[in-house]
Amino acid sequence: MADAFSLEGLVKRFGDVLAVDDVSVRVAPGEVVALLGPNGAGKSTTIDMLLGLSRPDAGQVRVAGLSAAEAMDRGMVGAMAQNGTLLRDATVAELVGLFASLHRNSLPVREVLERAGVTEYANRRCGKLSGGEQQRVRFALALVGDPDLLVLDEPTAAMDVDGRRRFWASMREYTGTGRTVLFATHYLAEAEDYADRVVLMRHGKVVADGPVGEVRAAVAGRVLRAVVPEATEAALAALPGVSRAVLRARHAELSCADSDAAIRGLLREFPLAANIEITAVGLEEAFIALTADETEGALR
Amino acid sequence: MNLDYLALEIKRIVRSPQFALFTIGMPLAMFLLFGGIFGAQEIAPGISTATVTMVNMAAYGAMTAALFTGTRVATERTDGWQRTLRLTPMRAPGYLMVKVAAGLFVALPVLLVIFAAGAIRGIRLETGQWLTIFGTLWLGTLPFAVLGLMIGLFGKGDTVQAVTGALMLPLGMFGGLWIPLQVLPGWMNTAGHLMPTYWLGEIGRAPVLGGSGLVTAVGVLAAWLVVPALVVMARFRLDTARL
Repeated sequence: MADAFSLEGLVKRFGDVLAVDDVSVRVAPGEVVALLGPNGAGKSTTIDMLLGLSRPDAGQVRVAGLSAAEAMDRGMVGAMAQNGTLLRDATVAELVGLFASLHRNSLPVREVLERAGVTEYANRRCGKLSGGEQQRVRFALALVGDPDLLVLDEPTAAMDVDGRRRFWASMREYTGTGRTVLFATHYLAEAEDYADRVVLMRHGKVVADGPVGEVRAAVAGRVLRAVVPEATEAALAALPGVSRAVLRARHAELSCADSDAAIRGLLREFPLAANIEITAVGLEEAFIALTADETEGALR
Repeated sequence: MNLDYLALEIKRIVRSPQFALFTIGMPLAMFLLFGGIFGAQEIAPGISTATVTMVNMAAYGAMTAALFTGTRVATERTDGWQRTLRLTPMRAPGYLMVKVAAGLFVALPVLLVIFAAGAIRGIRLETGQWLTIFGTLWLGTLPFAVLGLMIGLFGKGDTVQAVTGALMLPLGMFGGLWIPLQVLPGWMNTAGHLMPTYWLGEIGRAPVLGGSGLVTAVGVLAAWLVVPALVVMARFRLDTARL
């Protein structure tokens, strides 16, 4: 089957900053994909290019075999972009109605209001809504064109816990119909709970891409701490099973994908290593470790 | 053109407090004031000053309505509404057409209110005259709708209303809608003849005062339509590339 969308070698530069660096992702119809990464990883920039809001410096975007603009013109894509505002002086129902009329194959407005959970404030003006309520209205606008591909950039930003729960409940309903969804988030739990597949980004690059379980195995690991005399950070990082090493005054902290291999390697290379301690890290911490900014370590 | 979008645009403008207070309220108040003070004088046989004031204020109000509709584009751009629209099949030409059409439509209630006030104050014209004035003023509003759009595409959300407000002054003043051009010193008189407002007033007053130079009037208004329209088209291409 043809890809729902594909990104091939996308590059986007803002001045000296390489925001997106050779990103390639292919997504099959019906997949629910989380684009996961910390702030500044290049998620929004990637999404803007997928939506045709900005032009890649290199690489290509195809949506169901079409260019991003063509797919948008045909109403095949529904999206919640960041900073996409609503009209403050229009009511929720008016806006959803407007978007329905802009699309050729739209869903009934009443049904969309219900599905996005905005019926209760359908007649209120958008300027009077809270941030979380506005996000739900944006979700309704993304849904109303009955798109094949739904692209959501940080959909639960500004939502409270309850709003988040209700949002994902309505999303589940939608993804149950076999539509393709890409959502960006920096909440690992959201990626775990709602996506079939996770694309992990860091510094503009894709650092992991696969089913949730696989990526979890890659990011979740153990931390090995030891006092290691006469070692260098580079030598420690080169040990088998070690994904990241930090050395401060002989105290080494090794993030390990495979701690068994790491401890064997450590004792072989550095027989004087002492006070060895291995702890399991939570998924959240592992994710932070994997995506943390390198300059943080350099500054310490 | 998307008629649902047009309907929403008209609704948004008409129900805003500024529209009733400023766009309709100001020319209405000025008509009642000046029409009341000087109204009884005859400007031409059988034509009272009040009649001319009514036409002038109707022209001024219709122009304001159209101009401010276009400039709202600046606020929408600053707020990011255009970015939201780009996530739909709507494209620039459709958006611009809706804006111009909305500018024309919101001028209608302004004309109606001023004319109704005139009729209530005792201005009597033949049906044909009412209709001709109404029609010419309405069509003559088109350049201002496009001019507003041009300002809206260049201005920033927070300053554009002030800029437009400042522009209204020379347009109204030199355009001879507030005071007759004849009383102004020579160079102002000349400048006034370049203003679209002067010619809008001319074609509006023609059905009661008669008037030559209708060809010139249409020519000047057409120029004020075509130039901003070209600027808008060029600008919007740049704008979408940048967004």
